[in-house]
Amino acid sequence: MSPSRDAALRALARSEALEVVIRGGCMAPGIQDGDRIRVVPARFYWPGDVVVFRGADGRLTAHRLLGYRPGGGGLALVTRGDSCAVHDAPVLLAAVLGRAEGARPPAALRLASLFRFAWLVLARLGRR
Amino acid sequence: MSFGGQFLRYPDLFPGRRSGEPWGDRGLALDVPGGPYLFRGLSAAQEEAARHRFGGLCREIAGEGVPSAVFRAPASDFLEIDTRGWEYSLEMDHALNSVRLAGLRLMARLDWTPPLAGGLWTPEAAGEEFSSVFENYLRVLTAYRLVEQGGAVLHSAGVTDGQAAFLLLGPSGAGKTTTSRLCLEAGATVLSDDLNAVRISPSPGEGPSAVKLPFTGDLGERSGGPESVPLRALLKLVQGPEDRLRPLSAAAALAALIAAAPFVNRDPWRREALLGILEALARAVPAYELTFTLEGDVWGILKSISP
Repeated sequence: MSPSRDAALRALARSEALEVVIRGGCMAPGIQDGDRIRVVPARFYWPGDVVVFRGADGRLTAHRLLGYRPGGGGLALVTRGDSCAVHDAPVLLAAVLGRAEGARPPAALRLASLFRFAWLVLARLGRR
Repeated sequence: MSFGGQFLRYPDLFPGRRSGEPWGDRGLALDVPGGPYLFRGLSAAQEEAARHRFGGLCREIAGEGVPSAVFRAPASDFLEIDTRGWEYSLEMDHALNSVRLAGLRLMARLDWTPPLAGGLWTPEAAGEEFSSVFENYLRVLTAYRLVEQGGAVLHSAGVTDGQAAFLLLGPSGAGKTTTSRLCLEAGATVLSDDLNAVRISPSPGEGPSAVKLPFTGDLGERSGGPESVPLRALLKLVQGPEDRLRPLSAAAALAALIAAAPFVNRDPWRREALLGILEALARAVPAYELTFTLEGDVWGILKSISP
């Protein structure tokens, strides 16, 4: 999928939230396969946000942001679906369309995301 | 607000399929790009209103086309809206095999069954009120139909000398009508100052072309002139203190194009198809940012763009 398509969609979403169809059940029960969500770009995404990005298979994916790591010459997002067992491959910022519009995640969910991220970092350090 | 709440008194009762009580037994074919579009279920007064609005594009139904049926809807189904100082935009609800529309005195749906077919419900019986409803529906139908055919409708001013066309892209207020007027005064022909169509490859071996649509802005309908002209350049309009032409990257051109492609650009089920078409267009046709002043020679600038 061409990066310019994603850039064009991001620009479009800046003028008005963009509706996208989510495929897959990784965010169940909150977001089901085929659900439509509205996406808005942000200057910064916080752990706990549901971010929408173009996955390696070219489809738009909505997963929970856990944290950041170096990647692609800058920062890459570490994400995971709420009902997925493992986190995703790092997501470059250029692939992110925006975050799901609507109610901000509660503080507890943001904290849980951060703990998951911290756990991932510790597990990685432990393997070295 | 859920779909329809802005215009409809009972959004939950939105028609689930294309059925209802027709206004009459009259039919009409419209030769608009992507068509012919075949309308059935019209009353005599509605047919007259459509013919008055679209003139020579109308004819009797004969042969295949994109069918639409027109049905009665009670006026009480629609909310009374004070439209003073108000910018009208349709409410749309997209699904895998259908699109629902709600607007001023209209409900409509497009269904892919799989061929595209439409239904329009309105309480408007005749006159400008009906032709306005009819045109708003036809604009959406044309936009979707052209994407099916590898084209697109673009919010743009289309100007031409008959040999090459230029599409000036921009939302309301960007200067489409103003630049159309400036070009017209300088001797150019205006296709439309509001909505034009593009076809990527009208016939084998040909490049993209700009196609005239009967949907205009403040400049009104321009009779005569070419229907389809090879597209020389795309221009994103910017008002500024000087006249200037700045090349746009293909990525920036694509962003301008998708923003200018009404209706379908907000449809999550069909947007990728539209993006593919616009990406091909952005690759095939040079794009620029055109900063213009009211005193400047817009048409001269456009003519200076070499093939």
